[in-house]
Formats: sequence, structure tokens, C-alpha cells
Amino acid sequence: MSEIDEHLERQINRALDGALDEDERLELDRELIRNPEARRLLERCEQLDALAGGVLHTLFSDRPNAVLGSGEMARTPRRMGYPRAWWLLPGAVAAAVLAVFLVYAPPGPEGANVSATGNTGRIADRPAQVQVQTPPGVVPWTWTAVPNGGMIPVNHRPARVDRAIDRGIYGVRGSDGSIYLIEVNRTHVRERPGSQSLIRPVGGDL
Amino acid sequence: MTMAASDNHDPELVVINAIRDGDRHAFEAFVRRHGRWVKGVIFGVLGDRDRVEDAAQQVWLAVWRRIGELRAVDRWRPWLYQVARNAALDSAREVSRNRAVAQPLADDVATSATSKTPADALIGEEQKELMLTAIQSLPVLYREPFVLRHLEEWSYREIGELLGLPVNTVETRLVRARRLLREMLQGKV
Repeated sequence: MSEIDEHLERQINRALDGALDEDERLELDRELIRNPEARRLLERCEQLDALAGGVLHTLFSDRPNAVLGSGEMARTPRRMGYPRAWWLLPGAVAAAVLAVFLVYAPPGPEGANVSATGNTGRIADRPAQVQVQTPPGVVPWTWTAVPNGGMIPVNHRPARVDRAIDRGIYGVRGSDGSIYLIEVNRTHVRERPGSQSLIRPVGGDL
Repeated sequence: MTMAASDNHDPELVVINAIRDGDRHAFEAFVRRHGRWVKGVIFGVLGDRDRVEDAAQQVWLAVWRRIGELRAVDRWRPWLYQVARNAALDSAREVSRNRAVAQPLADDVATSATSKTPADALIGEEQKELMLTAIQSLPVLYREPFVLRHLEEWSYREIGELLGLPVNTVETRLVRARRLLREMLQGKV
């Protein structure tokens, strides 16, 4: 150990850490060949390094980590300033309102495909009914005149469809003496006639 | 240039942003990937394996709560290091309040080798126990780079960037750490 100077010790450490360049590596190899003390130091350092690495890896093995309790995880991290997706909430509200409007609001008589019957151009002679053509799959709406001079939308979809299924199982004895079970399902459907929507009648100046 | 380009493609940036948005799965995956490193940092500072797990819990708790305060997301590693280091220092202060007298270094090695607790038995062999005790006995300025080097195999440059030290200083500290370990373990391992 006495023959190991500071420079050689550093070179051995750098070799262990993979920090030697080509020239330094050659220089160290030459020194190791002629200096048994240097070889012993390298071997000793390698031995202790391997032991230290093994100890640390064992100690801090990648065990699954029960990191935080559910209470902590329930809290989202606190962010500074505006969140990046600040528009998400108002956007979602607007989309929801639009969706409700599209689903529940009937198309008005100003639609592109409107066919009126009995219209003379005067308010008093407003059409008795305005049929609105709707896209395939959408229940058609009719705007119907009401006594106060306005019009109300009426759809032709049954307000309610009641379905009932009677299920019966009957046993029949065959000629060979076997019993056959037959299941009979009877479906009853009752539809209510077209109903008026809940939309307020439109004014007579339409 | 290469360094900057590689930083820009740091795959952890996506994960960090997901955690900032409250993604728990991303957080758990992040903990799995960096749990060992965080424990290594804590151990490097603390030198007490018995307190590493508790301190690591504090680190992840702080990360989850405070990751929104991380301004430069690409600097998440130094930030995480600081969080881990602070947790380790807090734990060390707590220990120093509870422990009046510190054992001399040589005595510590000798005593730990002979008095094994049930937890120690899990670690296993006597040589490993001696080595662990010796690492724990290193001064913190040598232990920190030594643990980072041997646990994660970080280069001098990486260790220096993290600890804010020149590469030469990192190298010197590693040389001295090894020298101290050789001296402590002479005739024992």
C-alpha cells in the first residue's frame, strides 16, 4: 500500500467508475503489470465495490411501494397559477347545454324543409299545420295552430309505450309417453297517441 | 447540444405533467421507477437504513402535494433530490433530538457486527452487515456520492450536477470514500 501514490489510487478509482479514457487505461495497465501492490489495490477495490453495490441493491430493492394512503391520494396535487385546461369546465357546461337543446328542442317551422298547408300570407290565415321534415331517424314534428293565435309543436311519437310479456310453460305428453315442455311468450304493446310538447305556444305574429 | 436534445425527450416529462394533473397511476409508476433512487439519496444523507422507509414516505407525500409548485418541469430530478434531501435532514434532526450520544465510528462497526437484531438477520451475511455499517459510518459528504455511484451507477458528471459539485470534487470524494471503507473493513471483510 505504501507504494501506491495518490495519482495511481485515483486512476484505479477512475477505472472502477468507467471514467478512464484510452490513454489513461493503457497507462494504468502498464502500471498494474509492473506493480503487484497496485494489482492488489485494484482487486481489493473491486471486491469492496461489488459488496457495497450488493448491499445497497439489497437494501433498496424495488419493492412495491405502499406510497400514500387513500386519504392522501384523494387529494390532487396543488398547482400554481391557472390549470392548463382551464377551459374544460365551461366547455363541458356549454356542450351539455347544447346537447340538451338539440335533443329536446323541436325544429322550428323556419327549417329548410317546411311544407305548409292553407297559407294565404295573412296572419289570420296562417296555416293550420306546418309539417317539418326531419332527418332520418328523427321523429317528425308538426306545428299546429292553437286558438290564441299561436302555434305549438306536436310530435307524433307516442308519449309512452307499455310493453308486457306473458311467459307460460306448458307440458305436453307425447305419444311415446315423454313430456315435452313448450315455452310461450306473449308480448302486449300499448302506445299512447301523439302528445304535445311542453314548449310554450309561439306568439301569433309568427 | 446533445444533452439539451436528450433533456427535451425526457420520457418522464409526460409522467410529471400527468401527476400534476392528478393522475394517480402515473404517480405510482413514477414511484416504482424512482423509489430506489430516492431511498439511496435519503440513505446517502442520513446514513441510517432504519429511517429510510419513513423518510421515503415523507418524500412521496411531499411530491404528491407539492409537484404543482415545480415550475421547470424538466428540472424534476434536482427538485426531487431536494425534496428527498430535506426529508432526510428532517429525519436526521429528529434523530439527533432523541439520541444524546453518538457512537464512535470504529465502535459502531464492531458493535453492529456482533449485535444483530431480527431485522438485521434479513439482510443476511456478516460481510454485508459490516459493509453496510461501514457505509453508514462514512461522513455524509463522502457517503452521498458513494451511494449514488453504487446504487444507480451514475457518472461523476451526473453526480456533480445533482449535488452542485465540480467533477473533480466528486472524484476526490469517491476516492476518499473508498479509502475510508478499506480502512474500516481491513481484516474484517
